[in-house]
Amino acid sequence: MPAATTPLIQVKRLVKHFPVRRGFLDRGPAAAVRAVDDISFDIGSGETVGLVGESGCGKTTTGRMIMKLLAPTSGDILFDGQPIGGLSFEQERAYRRQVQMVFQDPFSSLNPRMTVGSIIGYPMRIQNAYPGAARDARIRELLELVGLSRYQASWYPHEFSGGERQRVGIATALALNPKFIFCDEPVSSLDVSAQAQILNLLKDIRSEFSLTILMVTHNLSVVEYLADRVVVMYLGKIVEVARTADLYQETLHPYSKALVSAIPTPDPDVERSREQIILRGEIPSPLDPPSGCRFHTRCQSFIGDVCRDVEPDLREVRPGHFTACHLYAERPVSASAVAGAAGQLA
Amino acid sequence: MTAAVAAPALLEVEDLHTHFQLKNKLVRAVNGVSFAVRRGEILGIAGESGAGKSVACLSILRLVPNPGRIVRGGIRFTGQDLLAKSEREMRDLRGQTVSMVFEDPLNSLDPAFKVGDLIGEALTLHKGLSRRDAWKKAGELLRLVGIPDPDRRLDNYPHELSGGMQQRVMIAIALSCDPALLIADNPTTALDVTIQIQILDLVKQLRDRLGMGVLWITHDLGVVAKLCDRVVIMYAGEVMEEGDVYGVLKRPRHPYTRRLIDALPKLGRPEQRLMPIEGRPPDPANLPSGCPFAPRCYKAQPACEERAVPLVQSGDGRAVRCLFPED
Amino acid sequence: MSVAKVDKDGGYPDERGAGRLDKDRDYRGAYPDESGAGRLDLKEATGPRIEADAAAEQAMFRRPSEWRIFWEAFSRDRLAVGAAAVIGLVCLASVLAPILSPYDPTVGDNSLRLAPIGTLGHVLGLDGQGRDILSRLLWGGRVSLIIALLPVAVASVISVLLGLVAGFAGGKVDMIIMRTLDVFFAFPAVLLAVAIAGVLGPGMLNVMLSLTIVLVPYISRVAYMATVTVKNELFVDQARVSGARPAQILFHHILPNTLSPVIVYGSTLVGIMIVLGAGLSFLGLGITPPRPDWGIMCADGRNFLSVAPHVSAVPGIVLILVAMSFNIVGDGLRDALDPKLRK
Repeated sequence: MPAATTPLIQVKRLVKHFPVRRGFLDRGPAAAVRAVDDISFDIGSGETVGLVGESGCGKTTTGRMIMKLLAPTSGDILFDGQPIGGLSFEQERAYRRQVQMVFQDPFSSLNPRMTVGSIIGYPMRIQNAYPGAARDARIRELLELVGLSRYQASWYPHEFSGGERQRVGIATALALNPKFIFCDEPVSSLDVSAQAQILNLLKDIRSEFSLTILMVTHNLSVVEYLADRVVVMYLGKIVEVARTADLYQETLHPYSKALVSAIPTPDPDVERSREQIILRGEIPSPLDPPSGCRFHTRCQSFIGDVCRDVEPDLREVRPGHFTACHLYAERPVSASAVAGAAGQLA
Repeated sequence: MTAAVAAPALLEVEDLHTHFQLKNKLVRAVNGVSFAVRRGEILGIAGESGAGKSVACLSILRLVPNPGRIVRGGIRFTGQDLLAKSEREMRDLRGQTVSMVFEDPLNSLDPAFKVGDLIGEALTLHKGLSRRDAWKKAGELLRLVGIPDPDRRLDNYPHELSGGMQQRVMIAIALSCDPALLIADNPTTALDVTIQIQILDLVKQLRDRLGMGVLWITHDLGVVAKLCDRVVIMYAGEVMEEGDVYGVLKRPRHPYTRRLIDALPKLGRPEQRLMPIEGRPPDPANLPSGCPFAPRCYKAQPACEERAVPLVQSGDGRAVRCLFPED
Repeated sequence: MSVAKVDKDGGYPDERGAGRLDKDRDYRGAYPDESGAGRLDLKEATGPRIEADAAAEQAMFRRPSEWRIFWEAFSRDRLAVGAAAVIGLVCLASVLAPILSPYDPTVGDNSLRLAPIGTLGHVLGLDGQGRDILSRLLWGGRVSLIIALLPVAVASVISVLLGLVAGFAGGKVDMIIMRTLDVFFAFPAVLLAVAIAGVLGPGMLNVMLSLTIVLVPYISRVAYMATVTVKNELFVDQARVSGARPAQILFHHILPNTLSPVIVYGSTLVGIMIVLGAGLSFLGLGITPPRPDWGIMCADGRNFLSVAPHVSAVPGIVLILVAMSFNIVGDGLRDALDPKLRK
């Protein structure tokens, strides 16, 4: 879906460093986990953006900053053109009405001491929305909307399966009629069948309620199913941004390629025919990321010193398709690099 | 029984039943499972959680926790009857000829010991190596499993390593005494995909180099497609379908296998709507009569729920437990 | 009854108009699916069938009250129920001591000193000063029970506050509170109680004060751990995302999850305090005679153990019985209060 005038969410040069607590006798400079290190991207109204990457890439941290569960170290996040930092109490409450979240672990996201109806009703209670009998009615309708029974409002979370609990989570997220929902790995702890149900449900409610969604996941086939655009992160940086179809048809960044090739898919034909990229080494620690391009230590298309010394900028290599890689630099470093890169671009 | 093939069977499991007698109910975790692993073959055991895959494999090594009991069936390893062996003989077997890798390396690696000691333990125990020799062999093993700078790693403690490296250490421990059979229970689910693919590739290489048989438990059919030669699909403690990976995944015969595949998002085909399987898996303490999948099956007829459905072999090395298989 | 249309409820603005839940559409098994399968069969996936009439429908929504659920769970543990009955009886007997007590507990009949159990008119015998043991037991129960219950109650309140604040605030506040309490952990509880009681001097209030001080670090730690655990749960994040203020989060989510471990721990502690309080009295650091309490009664019989063991044994047995009962009830409470163990 193409973005409307102002993107609903704008992330500008966002940085989040977590200081590491040091012992009393530690000498040397203070260490910090550089979870998110200067990223910028937009989410258009009605769009679903997939934010993908592996451990330590900063995707969950980014989402939590958008949800105002964490404060950025620097940088801005704009909602409907307005910064979300430094809001008054009422403004922040209004923001939270518009921006809701579906959590990763359905066994932790529901208070075991509350009935499912109370859980769904809680946001409405806090925000004083739908007072009186209307609230009860809305809770029951939300339950049915997500495929549960209205009579289960008095049940406790432990009486539901993982997939059903996740549906309660989605019902809770919809309670305040938000414009935007952040889904943090919504299906990774679910069984195959429950995954499919939740993904279908998200697809349906998204169109039903014209939602804007940011979905964080490590599973690229889930992203392909739901997202309009994909942002790929590695060690706190964005390495590629593209429309979903473009990303899979022409994956530009070497890391994205490795990621796509590593997703297991149950089709043996696809498994046999596709390129198998096996990266060297481990994911480096965000405490001490590699210099220059952070991916250079494992990159299968490593060019040379430039990768080690210079951090590549995120550049629009194709219309609407951005990547941060020296292979696609405006002025290539050397002729041989161009020759090598040409093979990649074909 | 499974079809006979050229390579000799390393492990033969026949009609295995493992039950847990709890205070007021009987949990039937495994109900008549049969399969075989040959030398140099990677057999995948796939199914959703609760299907009994882990219990079946623990049964092979007789490591089923109390109150679980193997109530029926035969387990043969290179012709020897494992159920007839004494506990001491089993201890000799475990870690030496048949070793196992578990899901969560952090829980399986003793945090109080260095990596070198952890790997060397099996060597000193089973092979009688001195600590120094065991340490050296441990270094070689770390190299074998692709850990960079192995000699330094020997001095690390498990918590100092990343998840991927811990899992490789687990594999190194499992390989230390040159086992003929490696049993792996979901060892890569907690790992990032780029690390998972490294581990899968490693296992394939080791199989090629050492000629081990591998039994790989997973709920991810994609991993099965990537790694395994043959696959067994389990549901409610029974084998629903079995065969070569290509055949089973491309042309599934059992309705459950088909529904499992259709429920997964397929890379490259995002427009295809996912089809979740309706209903829930049965309670293993309360299994229905007849085919356990019948209540959820789109092909079910009354006959399916009346009587137990037999596993039928077809000549092409495949088997299905269904009265109305696809195809 | 009209559906809660977004634009009509309490001034809650929503320009889009989307998001109305349409009453006409059947949302059950809401997500469409090509094969036609994929709709949830309500009969199988959820609870009881839908009945036609409104009264039955209302009944479906009615849920058993918290107390009922708790009682159903608790009563399944028969040992716990028995122990609770014992405690109840003992408490009742102590409360009714003025009525039930056959004799004045402080007045002795010298002619009947050390008379054994079963002496005519004195079911449990008499002590070294000719005082009726049963009467002393009843009156003593008042003291012993109060000495055990009140410090635990007061300490619990203080500890829950400290634990909540330390756990929720984290950082420096956490450090200051918990490290200060840690100092107390360096001293064995009994020794600390004895020391404080020794400093303050005998008397019921002082005993209770010293016990309260000793208890606070222990209960605080339980409350703190519970707080820290709950604080990291995702449902707390969900509450924040809903717009709840810290105080609301503390009250709605953290406090309820902190109370159960504290209640369970507290009931076990009461059992321990009964013995500890008795111990302090035994050492002469407790209440002043001639008021009886079970500890003093044990002390009194110290010199007659070979001749008339019942003087110490009877209060001793009662002490053990009551302490154990509190312990068992504590276990029962723990199981009954855990929502996951219900049903």
